[in-house]
Amino acid sequence: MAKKEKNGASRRELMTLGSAFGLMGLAAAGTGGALFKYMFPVVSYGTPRKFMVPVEDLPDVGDELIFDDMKVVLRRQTEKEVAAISLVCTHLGCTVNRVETGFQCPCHGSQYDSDGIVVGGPAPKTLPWLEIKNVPGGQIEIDTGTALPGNSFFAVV
Amino acid sequence: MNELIEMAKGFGTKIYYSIFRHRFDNTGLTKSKIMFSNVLLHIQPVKIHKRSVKFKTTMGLGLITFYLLLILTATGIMLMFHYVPSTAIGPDGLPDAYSRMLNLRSNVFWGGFLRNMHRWAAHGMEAFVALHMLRVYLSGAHRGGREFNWVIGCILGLLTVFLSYTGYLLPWDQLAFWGVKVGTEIAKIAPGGALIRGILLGDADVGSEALIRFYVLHVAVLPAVMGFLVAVHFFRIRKDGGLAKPADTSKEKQIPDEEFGTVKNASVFKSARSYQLVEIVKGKEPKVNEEVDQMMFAWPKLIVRELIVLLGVVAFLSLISVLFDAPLEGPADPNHPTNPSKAPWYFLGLQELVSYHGFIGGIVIPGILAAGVMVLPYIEMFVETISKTYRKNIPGVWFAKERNLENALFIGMYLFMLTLIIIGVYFRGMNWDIVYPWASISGGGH
Repeated sequence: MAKKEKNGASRRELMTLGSAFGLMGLAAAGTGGALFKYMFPVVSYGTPRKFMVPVEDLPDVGDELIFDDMKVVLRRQTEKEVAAISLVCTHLGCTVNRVETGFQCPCHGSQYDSDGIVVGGPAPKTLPWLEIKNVPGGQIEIDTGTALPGNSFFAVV
Repeated sequence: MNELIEMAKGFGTKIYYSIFRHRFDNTGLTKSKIMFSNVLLHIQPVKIHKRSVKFKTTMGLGLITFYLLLILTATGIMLMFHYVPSTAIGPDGLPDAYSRMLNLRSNVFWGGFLRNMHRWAAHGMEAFVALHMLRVYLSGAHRGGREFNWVIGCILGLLTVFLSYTGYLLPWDQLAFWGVKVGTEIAKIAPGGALIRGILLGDADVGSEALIRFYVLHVAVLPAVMGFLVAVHFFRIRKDGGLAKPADTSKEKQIPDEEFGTVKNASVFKSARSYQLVEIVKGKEPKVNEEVDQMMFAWPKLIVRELIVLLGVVAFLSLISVLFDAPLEGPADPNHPTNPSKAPWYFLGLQELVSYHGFIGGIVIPGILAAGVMVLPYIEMFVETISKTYRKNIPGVWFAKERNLENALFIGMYLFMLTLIIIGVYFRGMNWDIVYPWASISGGGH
């Protein structure tokens, strides 16, 4: 009899403790989740991904134009063909410099040739070539969020 | 007249005792009361082992680290009065945060000095955290029941690094911007890192949101966590019986008793440690494992020594802050990193590793090192358990013979990191090419 009572008491204790800690745990998990969402970015204030260039501002044939703010180099191969290469190092996101042999990163010494192919340093991937679209009003739109394989030239109208 | 003087004296005595509650004489009772009736002093025991005050025992490294933390807190609060975490372009064409740096340096009285002191103390703290950890390991003070305090110490070390990292974004100069840019790109490679990066930056890229978040982390969140863990760190040292010491210290050469002066004490508790509860143990001897004759009063010898160290730290730091200005590069330019773009010295080992391979150098090796060092005492424990080796009398002994292998490996790890840092600081130039240290380098590295 006494033993049974003792068991009952410990079971009751366990239930009380269990529900107390369970409720506390639930509250903590809920708060944690909510705070996680609270901290998560809602809006991006950074530079936009896409930008436009008027056709008449394109570089001469065989020449290049660097867009500092967008970290993009625009290259014109022929009268009708242009390509855009990202200047963001594929290693850790520094901006690469245009040098005679291609591109070089000042942060960790990655080296690329002029087509963005890795020739040295820690960079794991080729510099991304970007998608170009013709948009009305004699402009082209370059999307810095894309990553195409090398030599992706686009026709301008 | 005499009566009046007597009354005044009596009144003065009453005021004195209402504040201090003890006399200032040379009795053991007073020396005890001084320690445990003062909120700042009672963190320390009334009686300590004599070897605790010897230079060889700790070299004061942990204490210096703690003092640097106090100085950083004080100077940091002062800097907050003049700082705005904003990237908005002000009338001078510069981001607010950056022009506040220029303001501190040129307009605010003592502004430059306080900023120098804050920056140099931060660099010093990094160095002394590393030295303190080395001391603890080489003297075996992480064992003998103190294993978990080692883990807390490692977390404190990581917090120190993270505080420096969040702190150096705040000036919003080139070093700040590209340091954080590269650091968070490393986070992106780690599994689940993109999520952490989003939480840290509050945006897709380093920008105004990141500055506010790093500011809050730097001035509120991390110091609070750090303060709490420092308290736990100290508390556990007390509860573990003071500084680590071998089981038998009777053979060690100690400071002779004469140096501590005579203590007038007619009490029967002459040799008792007044703070410790007496445990009920089996046996007939009242003395259990405490070498009572090796104990000394903490007041005044220990306290005076600690104050001397504090004076030394403040004096040295003031001198450095007067002589050398804290670096400030050009305002942050999100489009062009400086060439070369170097992190502060304590990150250059990591930057050197990253320059070989992003994932292995940035995540795998530092991760294994940090996690491995943190659980090191438990690894030792595990090996000892399965190989059934029982080593005794090791805590508190410098370069114990039984630990030669461990010590060699640990020193090896330090040398490895040091070599990487030296290469990063002195042998990397433009485009991260190998150069000789005497070639002039501009951009970062401080």
